[in-house]
Amino acid sequence: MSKPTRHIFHIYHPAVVFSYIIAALVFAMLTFQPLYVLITFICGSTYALYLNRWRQFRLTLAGALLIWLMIALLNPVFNQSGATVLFYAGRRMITRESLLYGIMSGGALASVLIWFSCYRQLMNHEKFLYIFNRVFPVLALMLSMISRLLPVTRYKARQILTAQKAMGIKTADRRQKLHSGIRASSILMSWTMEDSIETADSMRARGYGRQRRSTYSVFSWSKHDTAAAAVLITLAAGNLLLIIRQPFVYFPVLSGSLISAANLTGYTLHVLFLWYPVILEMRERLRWHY
Amino acid sequence: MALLKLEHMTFTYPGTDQPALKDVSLAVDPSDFVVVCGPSGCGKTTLVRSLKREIAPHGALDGRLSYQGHDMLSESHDLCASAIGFVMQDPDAQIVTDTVWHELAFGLENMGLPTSVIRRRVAETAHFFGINTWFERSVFSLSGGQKQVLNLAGVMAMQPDILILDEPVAQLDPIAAKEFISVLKRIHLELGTTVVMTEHMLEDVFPLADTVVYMEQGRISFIGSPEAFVRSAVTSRSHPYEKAFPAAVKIARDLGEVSHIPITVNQGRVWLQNYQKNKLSDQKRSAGRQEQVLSSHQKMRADAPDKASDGLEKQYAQTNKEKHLSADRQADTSSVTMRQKQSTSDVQLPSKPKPPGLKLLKADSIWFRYQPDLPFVLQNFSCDIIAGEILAIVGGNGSGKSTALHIMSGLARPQRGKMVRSNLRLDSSNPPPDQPGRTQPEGTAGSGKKRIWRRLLRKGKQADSRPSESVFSAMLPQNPKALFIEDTVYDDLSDSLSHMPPDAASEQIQAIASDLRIQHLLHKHPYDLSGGEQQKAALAKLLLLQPQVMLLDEPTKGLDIYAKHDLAAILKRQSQQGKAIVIVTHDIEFAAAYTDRCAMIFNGEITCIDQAKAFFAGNTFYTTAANRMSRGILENAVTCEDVVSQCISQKT
Repeated sequence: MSKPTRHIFHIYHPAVVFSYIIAALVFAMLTFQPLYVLITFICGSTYALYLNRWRQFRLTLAGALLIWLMIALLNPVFNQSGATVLFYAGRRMITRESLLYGIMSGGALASVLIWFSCYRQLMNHEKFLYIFNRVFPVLALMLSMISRLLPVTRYKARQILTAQKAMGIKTADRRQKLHSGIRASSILMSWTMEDSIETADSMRARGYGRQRRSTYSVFSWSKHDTAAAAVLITLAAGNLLLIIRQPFVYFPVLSGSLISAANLTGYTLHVLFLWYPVILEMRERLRWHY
Repeated sequence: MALLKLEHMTFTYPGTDQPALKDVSLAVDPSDFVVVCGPSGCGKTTLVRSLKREIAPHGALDGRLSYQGHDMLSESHDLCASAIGFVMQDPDAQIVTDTVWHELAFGLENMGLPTSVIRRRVAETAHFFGINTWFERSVFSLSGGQKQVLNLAGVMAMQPDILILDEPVAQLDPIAAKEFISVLKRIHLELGTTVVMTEHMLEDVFPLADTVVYMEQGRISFIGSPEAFVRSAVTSRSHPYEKAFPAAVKIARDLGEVSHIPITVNQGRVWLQNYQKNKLSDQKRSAGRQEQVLSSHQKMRADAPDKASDGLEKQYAQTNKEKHLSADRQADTSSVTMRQKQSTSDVQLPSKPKPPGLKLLKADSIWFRYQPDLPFVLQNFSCDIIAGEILAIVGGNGSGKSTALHIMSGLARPQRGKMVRSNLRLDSSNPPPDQPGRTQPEGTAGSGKKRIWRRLLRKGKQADSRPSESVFSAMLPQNPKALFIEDTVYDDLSDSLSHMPPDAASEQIQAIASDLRIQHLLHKHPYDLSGGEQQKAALAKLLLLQPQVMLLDEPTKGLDIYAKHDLAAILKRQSQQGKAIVIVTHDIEFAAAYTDRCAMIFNGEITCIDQAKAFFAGNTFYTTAANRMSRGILENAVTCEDVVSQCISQKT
């Protein structure tokens, strides 16, 4: 079911949206370079805040920060590598490298969580099915059938329980509850099977299994999808290249540059990539106002 | 050339001796609208299913079946898969996928069409059926009527030449059913699709039909136009299918019409007005002859309507053009006087002489909603349930009917207001003795798995401290399938009596079964029964509990007129035994004919409640066909019998 959504990224082709989110998640895990981590987190948060509004976003944020804090605290305790010892906690040494690594990997994980909340808003069930469809056509039809069956079966189960209760079958103690449960599931099974015969008939009557099926989707590829794909691929490729070229190493000692020409270019590309949907939204707003 | 041709087809289900179809021959012409009707069990479903080979029943088949000259029984019928569309009864079970658009595309995907073609066809179809507004919704969120339209659209997207429908509106409420039929009419008129459908609501489909096929016991006993069908049916003294006729046909038939039988309400009005006029002039004439003092001037006046009515018959024959006009004109003259009469007659309506029974259940200004942030479903709902009375609660979808029933049964608690139960037992006749530890009647043990479950269930029952006396109220759910738990009807019924020794239980079951005339079904699986039989079996289960208040949710859904009649007789007997019966229904004709009181629920509140006759006589739209037909012509005639008896009593 698709709810009316207010974000413009919704109208893009699912393949674009899906690849974008996956790329963002990959980038979040790709490097623990501090500024990248920070950028990923901030960009993700702004977009998540836009998509989910504050009411929902604050829960995600709280969860993300909690995870961040936990990893930041736990990593230095369990991870003993690193050359610069800050202090000893009991018999364990706490190193500067491991402390920083903990903070940064925690930040990366927090970002992943936040980007996932964006994923939930951008990819509804149908869009996911579409992607799935392309890869496994037969499974996709099955998934679609199952996702119809689930609410229908739940509804039937509720009807059965109500019917049994209304017949004066009381469920006073636990044992009786169990029995009424068994009863209900027995009815549910035969009823569902009975209906599935008719569903099968209906499928055959509409020519299922006669020849190779084609798959249809409501989504169509538009020019803006090509444009977005081109821009995003360029940004991502450039960014990827720069990240690989400029490794940032924590152990045994911190090494790698934070601010160089290459770094700054990388940051710019990263921000542009992660804020691409936000930029689209801003452009949309500007269009309405000017 | 006939599009679809059946020649001497005989079909026998495996394991039976009697063929379900006997020597059936039928030719369906292009752009024909064929209605197949007949009492339940006459083989109409078998017939239409045999036409669609993919889902044809298995069994021994004899005869020829050809589509456009191709033999469908021997040739591989690749052609027919998309050329013949089939829509079944159950709106839910036919749907395959989870979204509306996917369901529309399903058949086209099966045909292996490329996306661009599918996109175009889906768009076209959605537009034609007015689905565009709910195109992206999940199928679960649709109403029953919408689901059935979707099923139809999914089939029509494949662009079939012939559309076959097997009682497509039996599971829908009357308003959704009428909408579905009007969609069907559009398909037939605007696309020229050939339609073959089985249906028992003849009132709605006869105006559309070109050909009526009437079946009896596996044979076709009539093929012809609807007019010819009703004429042939009227001339035979008692037609086995007479109850199912449209109201206008029944009335005209009972008043002795043989040549111009009206079918629709509109034609019925014209006919009834003519009938009344003729009668008046007859009376005047005979009165004149007796007195023999009429002046020539008066004589002319008395004869005039008679001549006019001869002409009117011709006018009736050319029904299409001037029908509306003439009906209006005639109505105008008579309705002025009728209206004056009606205003006074509202008070004089014969209220039933029945003494007011005991109030068993009282709903006192009840407010109810399912969740704190949802609107109230019941708003200030008040109602008395009286012993020995059948009360019908009618109203539209979502008006709170079913919720009201749930509240009465105690399944849900109202947030405001009270349900007051009177615990006085009316009939203390043979309360079933409480005897745990019954033994399994022999020969009814099912499969191993079932037996284990049954043992588990029985154990539960033994611990059950169910009171020996009967339950206060019991509710029959909308779908009787939700009730059956055993492999045979007998086991299912004995489940309600698990506290009794098997002998006594068996005795009671046999008594109830013979009462409801379901003895022959006792050893069948509940799911193998027809809709009407299932309803009866479920009712038997309910009756065994001996409730004082019986609450029935849409008991007539999917039943044909005969099953309805049986049901009504059973309910009547129960109410005479002092039970209170509450029926929630869409079925106005049923409520008018068989209940004592009717209540209309609108927006969660009972807006009017009255004796059934008075209730429907006071409504204009929400009333029976007979009442709509006689409005302004006769007073307060609600059922066909009322119309007939009023006409006859006026005569004498």
